[in-house]
Amino acid sequence: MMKLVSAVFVTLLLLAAPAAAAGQSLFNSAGLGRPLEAVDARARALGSFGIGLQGGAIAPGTDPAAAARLPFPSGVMVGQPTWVEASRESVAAGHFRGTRFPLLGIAYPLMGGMATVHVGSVLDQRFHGDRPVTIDLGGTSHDVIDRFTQEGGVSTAGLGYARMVGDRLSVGVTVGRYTGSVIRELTRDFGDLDLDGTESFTTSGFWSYAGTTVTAGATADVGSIGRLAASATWSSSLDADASSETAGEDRSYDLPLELRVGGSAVLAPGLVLVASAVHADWSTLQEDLSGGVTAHGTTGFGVGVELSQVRLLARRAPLRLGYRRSGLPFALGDDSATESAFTGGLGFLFNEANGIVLAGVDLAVERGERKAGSIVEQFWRGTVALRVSGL
Amino acid sequence: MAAAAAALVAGVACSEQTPTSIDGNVLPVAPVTIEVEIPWEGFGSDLVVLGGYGSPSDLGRGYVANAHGGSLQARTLARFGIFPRSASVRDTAGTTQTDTMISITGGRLVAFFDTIASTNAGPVTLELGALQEEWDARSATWTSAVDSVGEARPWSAAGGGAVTSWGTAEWDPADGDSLSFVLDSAQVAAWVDTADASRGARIDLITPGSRLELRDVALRLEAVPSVNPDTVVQLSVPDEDLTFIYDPAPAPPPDGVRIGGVPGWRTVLDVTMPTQLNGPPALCAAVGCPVALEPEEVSYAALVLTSRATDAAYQPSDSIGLDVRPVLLRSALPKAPLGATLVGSRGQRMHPSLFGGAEGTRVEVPITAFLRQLVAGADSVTQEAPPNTLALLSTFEPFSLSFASFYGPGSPQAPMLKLIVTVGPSVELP
Repeated sequence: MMKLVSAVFVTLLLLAAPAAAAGQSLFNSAGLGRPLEAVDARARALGSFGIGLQGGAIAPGTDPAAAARLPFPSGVMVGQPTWVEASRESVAAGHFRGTRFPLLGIAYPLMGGMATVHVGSVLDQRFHGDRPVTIDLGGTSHDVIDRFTQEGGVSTAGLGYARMVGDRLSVGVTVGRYTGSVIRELTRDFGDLDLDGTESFTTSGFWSYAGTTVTAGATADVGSIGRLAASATWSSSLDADASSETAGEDRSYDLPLELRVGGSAVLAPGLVLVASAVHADWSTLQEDLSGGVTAHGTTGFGVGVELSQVRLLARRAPLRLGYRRSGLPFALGDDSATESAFTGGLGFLFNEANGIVLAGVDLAVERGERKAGSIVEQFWRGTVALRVSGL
Repeated sequence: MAAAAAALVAGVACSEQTPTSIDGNVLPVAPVTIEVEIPWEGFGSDLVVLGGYGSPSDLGRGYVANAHGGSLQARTLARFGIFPRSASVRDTAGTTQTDTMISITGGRLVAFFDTIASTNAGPVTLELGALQEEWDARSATWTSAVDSVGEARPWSAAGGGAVTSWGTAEWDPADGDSLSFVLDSAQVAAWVDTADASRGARIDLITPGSRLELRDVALRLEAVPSVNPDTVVQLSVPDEDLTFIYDPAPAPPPDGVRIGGVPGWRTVLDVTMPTQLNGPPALCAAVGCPVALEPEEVSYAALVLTSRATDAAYQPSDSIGLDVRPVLLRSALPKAPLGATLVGSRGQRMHPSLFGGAEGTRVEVPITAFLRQLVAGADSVTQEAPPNTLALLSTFEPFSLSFASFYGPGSPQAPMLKLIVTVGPSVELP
């Protein structure tokens, strides 16, 4: 079983690329896009922002100190399909679906601690839009369509290191580079003109993203039942460099400091309560944005419980439930946007020795809503995470 | 379980549906699309009309005319191949066998008309005659029986020389699209010797004022088989040549644009794309003038021609297909190689009335791809400049005896260049 899981993990690691994250929301079209969280399915099922959970974890972008508590070399790969129904003023406005791979990570023991390598998603920017336009040709009005497509997003690739400081405290830091790119293409489609020989007008631009991010955090055991964690992510400006063929200008965005806290407590044998919160003042980006986009500060919280002694098919299968709510930094219109979801999921532990999970898969399902003014998105979001240890 | 989960995620990833924004404000600034018409002096030069492409025999059809449009005379000449020497027939016992002892007793020459392209509305009389002078189908004209390299021989009388009349017949388009001339055995026998270069049929139109187009001319023989003398069988003789001669030959136009005819006419012109546009006001208001065009900003380009009444004798009676192609090496005219068509294999269909009652109609010939190349300029690798010469011609050459006419430079209805230009600010990040 261990070999099977390892083989599947490595295969998917080669096939998948977080930079190819797909668009899954109307809010991808607002500002710099919709933030993506590089957390695993266990955190998703618990409504967590990926910090302060019991046990070790590869969460370099949210809880870098958690890797220090991994006993063996480990790897994690996360896949996340989403199905969305959108409406505006209670009128259906489309449905879409997609899959992204928000986190691929590997941890390996090094110099008494645990080194991590990861790639993760940061911002999803993929969307398209059509705009009907009336043009005047020779005194006669004609209807044409502007078709706009934006492909791409922002990812990170980073190295981290975490280690225990004493028996109860772990610290960690992750240094990463922003990567990714975006292609914006506008095509005026003259198909409705019914004029032979007409060619569409297309103008486009390609930008590559670059920047630096550092996440530092600490996790401490509180008594025999609790754990508290905090982390902060500092980012340099996110630079968008236009290609030589692009007429558009280079841009630079000052990303905000992100602060996270989280904790968990064992209320009873097999029953764990988790809670976390996150805050980032994205409104500082406002002066970097153009085109009437508004940026808002965001705060989020999540709570959940884990029933860790549940068994399924003669194996331990922790059951998780939770709820989370957070703000989105960019909205369509002046209203701020929020995302909330009820969460749940299971863990299937294929191979476990002395309470240490050597191989397993975590599943999470979220039913949630994103809302900004009259625009509402109802979504189902699944998350699948493969975890292996002792590679 | 792990494999199934991985397969689930991978499977969903293959069915991506990208979100469609419902907020037009997130799209980049809309470009401006305007129409610009540039007069001949602003883009065109060196327009010439060239004739002589192809010959009537290339058309594979015939024409007959008698004082059509007041002057046009046309006659169809046809020659047939080797007569069949056997036939499969049933003998008196009912067995089918090949009979090589057939006796040809007569025949019929059948003319098939294009009823749409023919101008007559009522019955007309035609005459069939047997040519008496050696002639060459590839080079025969109204005055010359042979006009090829190294040999030129006129008819003894213009219009096909001496001819033995074999009778007349009447064709009424209301009765069908064909006409038969009955031939006796002696008349048929006159065409049996394929070494005789003078053999051939000439079809004349006796009724004045019309022009008829013949899709085909066929010779059907009637023969009596030796194995069953009570039976008459019909045998087809393969065509060898079908052409026509006409008078007067149209003179090259002193001005204007001509396309079509037999031999075919082409119009060649040079196009110079303005490097900058200084109008119209709507364009200047949107992006400021002067505007230096980029190839992708030319959404549509067309040569705008104004139709002109063609000489009545050669006025089209059916649609004409107009083709436009870049001339790859103008210095090699009139035999310059041409590039790919800019209007598709069917060409631009033009109704015949454009060159008669509806003269003065604007006809747009799209040349967008050609003009985009011209705006792009020389190839960055080969430094080779794109062709700037266009040839206007019929989709097939020759296409028909009639031709299309348009007003040329110097006329108030001179050709124009119509552009639909789309310009806008560059796409920026939000």
